[in-house]
Amino acid sequence: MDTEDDIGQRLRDSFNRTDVPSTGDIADVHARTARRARRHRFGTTIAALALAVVGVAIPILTLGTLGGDRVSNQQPPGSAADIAFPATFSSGVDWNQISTGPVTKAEGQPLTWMTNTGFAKSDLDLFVKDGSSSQSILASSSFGLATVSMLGSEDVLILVSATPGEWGPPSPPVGLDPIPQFTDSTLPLSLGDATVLTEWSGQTSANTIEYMLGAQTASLFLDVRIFFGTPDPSAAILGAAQAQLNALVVPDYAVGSVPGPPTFASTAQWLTLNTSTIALDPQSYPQSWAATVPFSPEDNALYAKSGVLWYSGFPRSTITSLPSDGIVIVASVQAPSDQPASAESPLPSGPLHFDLSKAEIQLQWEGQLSPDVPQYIIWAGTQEPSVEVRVFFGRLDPSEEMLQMAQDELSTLAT
Amino acid sequence: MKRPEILIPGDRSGRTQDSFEEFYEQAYPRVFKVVYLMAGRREIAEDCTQEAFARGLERWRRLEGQEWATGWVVTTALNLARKEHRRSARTMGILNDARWSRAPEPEVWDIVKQLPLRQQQVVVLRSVLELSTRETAAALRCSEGTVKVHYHRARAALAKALGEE
Repeated sequence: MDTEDDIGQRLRDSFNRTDVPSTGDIADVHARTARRARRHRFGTTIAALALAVVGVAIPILTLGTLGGDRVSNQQPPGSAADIAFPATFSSGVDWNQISTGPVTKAEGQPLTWMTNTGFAKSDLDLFVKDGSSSQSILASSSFGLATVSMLGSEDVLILVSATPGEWGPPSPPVGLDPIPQFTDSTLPLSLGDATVLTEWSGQTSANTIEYMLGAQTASLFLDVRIFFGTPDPSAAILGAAQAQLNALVVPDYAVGSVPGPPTFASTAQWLTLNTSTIALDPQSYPQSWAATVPFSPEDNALYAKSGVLWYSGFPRSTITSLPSDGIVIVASVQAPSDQPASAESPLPSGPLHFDLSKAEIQLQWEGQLSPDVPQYIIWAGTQEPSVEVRVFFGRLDPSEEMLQMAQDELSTLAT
Repeated sequence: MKRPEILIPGDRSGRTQDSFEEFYEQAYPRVFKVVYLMAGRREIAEDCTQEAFARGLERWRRLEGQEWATGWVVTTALNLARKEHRRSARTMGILNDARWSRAPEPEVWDIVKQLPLRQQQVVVLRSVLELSTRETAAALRCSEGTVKVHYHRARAALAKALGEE
């Protein structure tokens, strides 16, 4: 019998011995691409995608087919945008960043917070209030202000709101003064151009100071606020803030849509988070989390980054510290791999009928986050798109009650 | 042939398009051959390979420089071939017909084709194209752990099937 190692060699040998000369024609590749681009440019297919972001349907008009053809989805900066994406900071070891997800104009505007200290718990509680990265923040008009009030003398909090040019300047975040003028600017922005406010609306601590920047680039309006925990920030902390501004990345709207994740119709006992249906990166894919315990701030922050849950956003921290009666469920869509960021081949609509009793139980597993946390894995078929569910319990021998609770939650999972 | 208009967003200099053409020349032979071995029909393999590269060109801004770009194109081409096979099977009944295979060891590839789709993809990328676990995971948009699981299961299934020949 062949060993497993022999198999790979046998396949490679067969591959190498196969002689099927074929000369690729690059002109044909260009022609195919050009044909499709023309078809989309002049075509009349306008598809309305009802994208659900945490239960809130967002109508999006997108040119082109719903397939993997992405050229027509890519909007150059400055073109009309139905959805705005948050600006993000590309650097910041030891900094914490939280962003809203993509936001429609009707919802508001995308926001990003960046700080060299921790976010106030009361702010984070607001953040996870509705189990949604975008909706909960947007619904939480005072998000961030608690953190501002707690800033120390070497702390800084940066708030950025970015809106497409067609949307006009962002509204001032609740509790803050409007920016009187958005000046033509290029990135990076400079603290030296900021208006400094020692007193500002919403101020709860006299020690805090606000630097206010209003910028208009070729495609965006940027409302930037930098808060310091002292009226006289040191050169070091000013330099740190400027370094973050230098690392500010604005969206280019070169995005598409991905299938929405299956979602849990949870009871009050469960908290859930799930990905956006907007892909900011080809490696992102739909995922939903459910837990009987609050997600850790680290997991929340990772989740919120760009509003898209990456695989590296697996709620590791929450699972690692799972109490013995805690449960975490992760449902992931294995989307068709030939369409990295397309809405094609959505999952069949309806409940998914996962049966926990049929799960593969792993008391020890690769990368096990805690020796007390077993992993129950259930696969929904081998055809794509398929769904993989992993259930983590806080103990190796979950009680009947815990198993039933997990099963009840799994039974709510639906597309 | 004259190049069509620039289709890669942001590629005003044509440099990006040049890099795509370099990638195409380097990757095409391997991509075509593996698709041929899996699809079994030359015309399908050529068409799907070309189409996969065309899709890659549209996404080149994201694929450029990625070590998993070849894996992405292979996976895309295999999926296209699979769809074409399904379509053909409905009309011609040729799905998984070993007569179409021209590989030196057609039975090996026939067994690979019997694996679940994800396992097929992982075997091709890991065993044949010798991509790393990380590169395979990136190309398939899944975790490295998932790749390891599929790869282990696939090799075990292949070892068993080939041992029982």
